[in-house]
Amino acid sequence: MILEQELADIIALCRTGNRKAQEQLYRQLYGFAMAIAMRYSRDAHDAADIMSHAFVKVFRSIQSYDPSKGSFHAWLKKIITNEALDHIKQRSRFSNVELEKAEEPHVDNVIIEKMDAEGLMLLIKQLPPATHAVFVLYVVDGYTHQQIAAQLQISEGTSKWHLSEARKILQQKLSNYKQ
Amino acid sequence: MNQLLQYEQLLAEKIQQSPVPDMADAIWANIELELDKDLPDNPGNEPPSSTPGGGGAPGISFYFYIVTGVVITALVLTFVLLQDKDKPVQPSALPPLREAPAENTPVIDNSLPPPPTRQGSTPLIIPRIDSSNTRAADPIINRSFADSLFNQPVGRMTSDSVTIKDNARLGAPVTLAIDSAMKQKEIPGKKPRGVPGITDDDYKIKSEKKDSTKG
Repeated sequence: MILEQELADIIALCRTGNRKAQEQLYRQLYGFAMAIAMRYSRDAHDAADIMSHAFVKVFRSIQSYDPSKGSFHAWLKKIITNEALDHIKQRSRFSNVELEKAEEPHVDNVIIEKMDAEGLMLLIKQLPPATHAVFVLYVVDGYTHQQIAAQLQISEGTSKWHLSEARKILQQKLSNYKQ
Repeated sequence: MNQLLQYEQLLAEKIQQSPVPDMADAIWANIELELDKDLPDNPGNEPPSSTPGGGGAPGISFYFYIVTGVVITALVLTFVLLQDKDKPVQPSALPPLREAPAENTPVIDNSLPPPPTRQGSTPLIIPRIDSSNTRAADPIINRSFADSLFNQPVGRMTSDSVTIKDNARLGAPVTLAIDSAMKQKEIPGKKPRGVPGITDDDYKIKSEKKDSTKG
């Protein structure tokens, strides 16, 4: 775990274009960044592509990072999430179906407890790309439907529809897993 | 704060703790390649473009290469153009020289009025000699005498022949003069020139020495 002061020193060197500092910063934050990329991607190669583009943007725009406006981790997370959503938009279309309120199907918690993270990730990756993105944004990263709508340029009703679809599909898959 | 279902909370916690694949080196190689495109000539630690919000602007070396390329191109074009100017005019542009007219082509002397000519023929100024009876080194002889020679069958000339005697009487020097109009090109298959039986020796005046010892 890197200290805040060490991170600030590395960031200062990165602002000067120091290649070694850039690599050090990348390797220090690799685990944190890759976990975010993996949540939104279909596989590891897709996540690597997201990581490459995201860190290039980080180093090119590091001059614009203002520590007073938030932590570097939050700034990095926003860049990676935006890059991941751009990847999803390129290969999928978001439905125009509107929903007033997302459905809440029942799922046995025991099943979730028995499954490992890798198994759960595999289930989520089986969702349609747009539905997958909305589910992760809402459930994992805590975005509201309003924020999701602004991020994906869809309506809140469409965001709720995608969340409902994700819950129904996961319930069905988890039920099959139980059996 | 979103209202998550219970299983969704468990799901979110497990997903956030999921392991990540070890692809750090491969990903860094791609990042480095992209960052190198933004660097100037010096691959050291020079700072990248300070444009806020990112974006790679071309460095000074980029413009230097552009200017150098333009200058070199201009020099090459100038050299090529100068080379073309120095080249002499190709002789092939000029019409080919015409060969000298054939020997049996009549020569036109513009100082004399042209005689009446037949249609399609070239006017002759110099007295025309029948080409079939001329030889390359005929002596200058009277035209009428030449006609008399060519029109009558003549045997072998001897020293006491009428012809030689006539020549001597006339006192006309027997000289060889070559008139270009009379010169004939021997054409294979054509009738031989001269009078059959008469050679050049026949025209030579030989003085016989009387041998006083003989009776």
